[in-house]
Amino acid sequence: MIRLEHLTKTYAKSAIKAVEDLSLEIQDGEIFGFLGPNGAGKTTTIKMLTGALEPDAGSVEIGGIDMAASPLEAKARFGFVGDDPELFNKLRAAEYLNFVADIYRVSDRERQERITSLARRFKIADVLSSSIGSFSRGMKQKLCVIASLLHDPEAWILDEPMVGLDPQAAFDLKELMRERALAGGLVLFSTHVMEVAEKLCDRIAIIDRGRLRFVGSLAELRARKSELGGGRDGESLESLFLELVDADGSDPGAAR
Amino acid sequence: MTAPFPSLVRFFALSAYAPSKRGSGARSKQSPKAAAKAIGLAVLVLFVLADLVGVFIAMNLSAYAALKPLGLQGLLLLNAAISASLIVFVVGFITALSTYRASKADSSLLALPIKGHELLGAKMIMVYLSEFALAFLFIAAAAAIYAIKEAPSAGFYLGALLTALSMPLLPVAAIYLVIVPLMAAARPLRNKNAVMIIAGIVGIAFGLAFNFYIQVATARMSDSAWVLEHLAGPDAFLSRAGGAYPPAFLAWKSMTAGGAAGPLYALANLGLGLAAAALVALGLGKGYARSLLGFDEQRVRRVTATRGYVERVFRRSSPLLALFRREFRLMNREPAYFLNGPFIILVMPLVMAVGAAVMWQNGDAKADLLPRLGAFVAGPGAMLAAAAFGAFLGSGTSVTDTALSRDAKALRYLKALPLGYRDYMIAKFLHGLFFAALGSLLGGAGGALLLRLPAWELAGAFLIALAFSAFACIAGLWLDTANPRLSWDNPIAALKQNPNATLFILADMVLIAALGIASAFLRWGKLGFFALYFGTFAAATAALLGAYPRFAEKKLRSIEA
Ligand SMILES: Nc1ncnc2c1ncn2[C@@H]1O[C@H](COP(=O)(O)OP(=O)(O)O)[C@@H](O)[C@H]1O
Ligand SMILES: [Mg+2]
Repeated sequence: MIRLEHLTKTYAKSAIKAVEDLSLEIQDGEIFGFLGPNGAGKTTTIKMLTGALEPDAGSVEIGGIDMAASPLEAKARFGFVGDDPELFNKLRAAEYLNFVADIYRVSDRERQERITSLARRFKIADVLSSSIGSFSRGMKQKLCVIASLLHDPEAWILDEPMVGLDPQAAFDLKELMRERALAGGLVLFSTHVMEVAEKLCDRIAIIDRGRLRFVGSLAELRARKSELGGGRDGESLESLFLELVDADGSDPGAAR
Repeated sequence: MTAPFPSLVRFFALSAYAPSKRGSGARSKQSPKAAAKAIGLAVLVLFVLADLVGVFIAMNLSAYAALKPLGLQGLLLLNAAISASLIVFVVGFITALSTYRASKADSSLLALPIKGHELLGAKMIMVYLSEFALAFLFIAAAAAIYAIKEAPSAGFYLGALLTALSMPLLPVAAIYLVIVPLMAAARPLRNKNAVMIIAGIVGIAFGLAFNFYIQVATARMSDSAWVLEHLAGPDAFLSRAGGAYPPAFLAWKSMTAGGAAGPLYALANLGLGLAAAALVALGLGKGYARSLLGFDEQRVRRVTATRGYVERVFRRSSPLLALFRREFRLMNREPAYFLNGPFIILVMPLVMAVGAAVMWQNGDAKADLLPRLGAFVAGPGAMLAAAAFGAFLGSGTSVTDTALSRDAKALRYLKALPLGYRDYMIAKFLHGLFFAALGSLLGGAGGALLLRLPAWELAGAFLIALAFSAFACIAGLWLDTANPRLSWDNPIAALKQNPNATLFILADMVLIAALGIASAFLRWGKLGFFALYFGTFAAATAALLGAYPRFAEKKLRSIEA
């Protein structure tokens, strides 16, 4: 379980509140979509959630462990795929995987099994001894996905994971998300592509200009809209989303 | 709308020289602190340049004194023109190689409707701009001395300025005339690593050659007998120089002809250079554009992940060791980092050995130098000299003073891993210590061997160097932890545009030099010096190491990765 309470962050070099008073609870076994336009504060929230960024106020709890109090224990409970796969281009894929497994203290046998099965699944098994710099963006993304699962974490956190993946790889990744959720794991990912969230998520949160606009299931979102008199039956999430983030009539892109 | 060519030049200039814009552009005006930093940095850079030019000025002054009685003082200007061309050629060669394809953006420009010669022309202008600054310094140094002593007419100044403008043109044209066909022909060279390594080797070869040239030239030009004998009449020598390198001859004429003729010669020089540069840009533009295609292609090795392979490759090690390995690989596989760091440690001893060999051959240098240092060298001096060289090698490479900056983009990811910040930073320290030990060994112990010191003095030199380098390591790491440079696009920026590196190197040099001078005044024995230096730096290292982890942990937690 992940619990965020009243998270607030203003970057030192900017005056805007990137995230403001955000509270969320995500249960084990669910796939949770974190939606919002560019610059909404998704990555900032995920950075605070993963311990990469200290919140100005509020707290993060992962599997019942407080991030501020015991960061190492909290971090060991999730696997993380960041939004930038261009990180370790000078390393070979195998070196990178070994590095991550060492940090998570994964045993020889476990890392060998997981790397073998995941690398086969994502079809990069035969390039493991190549330099990451020679990979396409999609291949790098797949490698990051594999690295994030080496310790078989209870929570899986991904920031814009579909970017750069070919249709087959995107399909494989979605399958993997479903499998992990079915097995009782928690999956949280951010995206600005509504379609992905629509097909995959048990619940979604919509964030815009640092504030949470909605949390709940897709059905709840539709119900909410029809209560307000706007939504039609079968309306796609996309148009609902656009109405929501555009509620006060301003352009979310320009506000940032 | 701007025409494509000028905006291309601006694009290259901004991406190469403009300081990085931080954040999301929220701050449009500079804070006073940032301004102070920029000024401080500019002062430091000027200081280093002034040092270089100072050597050149000193050389010019002594040459002037020797040449004046012969009426050959104009030779100063010829020498300046030749020196400027030479240094521009080699420094420009390195600049041109390392910016041949500065980033992926260069290759993607090919997708735009830009002609090859525009692309190459813009690149040449880029290199020209930085080389002009260099040529200007050299010509100005000689011209200033000439002007003060000779009080020439106004035409001289115009001639000198035009000369400075024109001197880099031909070298830059020549550089691309060499590089473009080379790159177009040799596929393996079209790879950043190969490019940087060649640039590094050329740079070092040049450092040696230029040093040698300056020494020989100073000695010769201050030796009136030699000048009289070899240059009998200036015309004989100058016509030879003019035949070999017309721009130098024209430069000399433009500054000494006097009257209206001076600027005319300079204009001829400018025209010659411009024509050559234009010819190269027009002639090789297509070849340049073609050579950019497929730059940085890498071989993908396919190895079937058999059970045996997996079991051999994926083995557990401790987090600290994993962090150390990562540090080591990321530093030494990035050519820009390797060449400015570990490479120096390996190559400097070579350079010194060559220098020493030249000095031994030049018997008089030894005879001249040794008696003067006499007692000091016979005493603790030799051991301290070896220790100083070891300290210089062990600490003079930007291994720890850019360690956190180099990780900038990865921090967001690394901070999400369950790694202790203490382990993370200690791995960086150990990585620095590894090269500190290597430098101390090659410099301190190697130097001691070269000076034929007894074993215990060799050990002393090594240990002093190691203690000093370890201290420098932790001090540099502290500096970069306190004020890391975290926003950059090109990895070179983490090193080259990092104030920490500049500040550190200067402080390092000043400290070594100050200790050297202080040692000459202290009349202590070898053991006393050993106890003083080893003890002080070992204790200081221990003290810093004790306090550092807490500081680093706090700082890393608060960094907005
Ligand atoms: N390092 C940073 N420094 C200053 N402002 C930042 C930084 N990172 C993000 N921001 C700002 O915070 C806001 C939220 O950004 P982000 O969380 O990256 O959005 P998203 O991931 O939803 O696209 C934006 O206005 C962005 O400009
Ligand atoms: Mg984002």
